[in-house]
Amino acid sequence: MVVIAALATSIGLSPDVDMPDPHASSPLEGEPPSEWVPRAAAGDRSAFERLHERFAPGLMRFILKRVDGNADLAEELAHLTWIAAWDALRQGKFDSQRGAFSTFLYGVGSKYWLRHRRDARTDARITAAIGQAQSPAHASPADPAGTMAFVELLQDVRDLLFGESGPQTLSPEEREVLLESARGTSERDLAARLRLAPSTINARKQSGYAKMRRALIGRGWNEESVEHCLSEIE
Amino acid sequence: MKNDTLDKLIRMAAEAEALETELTGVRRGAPSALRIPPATMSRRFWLAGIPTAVAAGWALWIAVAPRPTAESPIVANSEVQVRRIAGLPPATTPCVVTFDASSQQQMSMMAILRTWSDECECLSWQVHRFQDGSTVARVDEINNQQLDIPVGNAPPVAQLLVVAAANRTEDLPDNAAENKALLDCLNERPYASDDEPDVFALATAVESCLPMGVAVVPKPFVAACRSR
Repeated sequence: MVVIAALATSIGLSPDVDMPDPHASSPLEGEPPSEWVPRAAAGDRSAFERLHERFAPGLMRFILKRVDGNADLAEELAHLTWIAAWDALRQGKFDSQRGAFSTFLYGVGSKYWLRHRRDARTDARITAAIGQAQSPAHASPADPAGTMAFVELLQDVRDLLFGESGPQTLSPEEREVLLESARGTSERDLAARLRLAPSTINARKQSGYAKMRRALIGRGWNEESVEHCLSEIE
Repeated sequence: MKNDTLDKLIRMAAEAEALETELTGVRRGAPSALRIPPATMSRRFWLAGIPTAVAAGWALWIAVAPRPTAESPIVANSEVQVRRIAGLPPATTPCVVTFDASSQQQMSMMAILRTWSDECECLSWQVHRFQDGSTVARVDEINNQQLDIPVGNAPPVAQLLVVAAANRTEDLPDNAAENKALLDCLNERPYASDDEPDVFALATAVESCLPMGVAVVPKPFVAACRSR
């Protein structure tokens, strides 16, 4: 609640506001999150609260992993991410046509984390002071608008892997191998788990890569634009 | 586009997708604050902590530590909640700790336990079987899933229930071979520190041993159930 109160203060809500009960009925009840985004952008605080309520735990978990469980640092980076998200929504810098809000949140959160990591490397003293008010991320806030190209790219990849167009692009077997491979699972381990030959795993992986590559090119991406987008958050 | 670049994009897409699932598991503070006792620690040491209620004559005794509060969901404001059901009678047979997993949307779930094993007198991972014998159950917004966790002759050590949830049943291990692979992954996993891992590390271990897109909700508990 302390975090929520602090966030509420940062984005101009009443400091003592409580996050709504997820089980309580509200004017937004039954509406998909895609409807909350334009409402929040128009200044509807309850819509933003619903977005926060829905995505804050996942964002926190993602950042906690990145910072090796340092809860104070994760909380601070999550806090900054939400402030940036609120600002982007209010200033019309987030375009929901180009990507889901969760992708955008992921992009902004990644940016803050990477910026912190970069700054921390150059100043061990700041790393030691993690959790203090003068976080390096405060000194150089991420630009949410600059994240949109990355968001669009990542949204396309999400669609290919998890969206409706996914099955038309990748077979379930290829998808599984690609996800496991990206996660760091070796072909040998995956082959043992699936009781297949490593060569079969490799064939699926190469086939999956080729299909992903073709699909992304079909959506207008090329090596240069992809690298440029990735550089936005690296 | 190089394969490494595609790998990077796929990994990030999966992480972003995980934000969308609404199925989350770690809240700051409570879970990471609770430390699981060393798996190899002497059973006698822990038995020394059993409250005098046992000696006073209850046939069976069950306790679940109220951490942080017994009835508050471990994950506030998330779509999946795991609560312990209050008011367990002291003479329940068989000796169980009951949890209630609820969701605001239909999903599939499995319960993975790091619990006491009489065989090794240590904490080890197990996959819970539901009443119908399966390890994966469907939960929807109408019918919550009740989890009756047998604690056997467990001394009052800190144990862990991890609910793994996915939108699709096929994303969860649901046969003997897959469950064995999961348990092998968990029980043979090295941890970064020599200390016993905390709840966050254990929940992360479960997540990493499961397919991508599966979210975990950890619920630490302390339970003991002893016959007089």
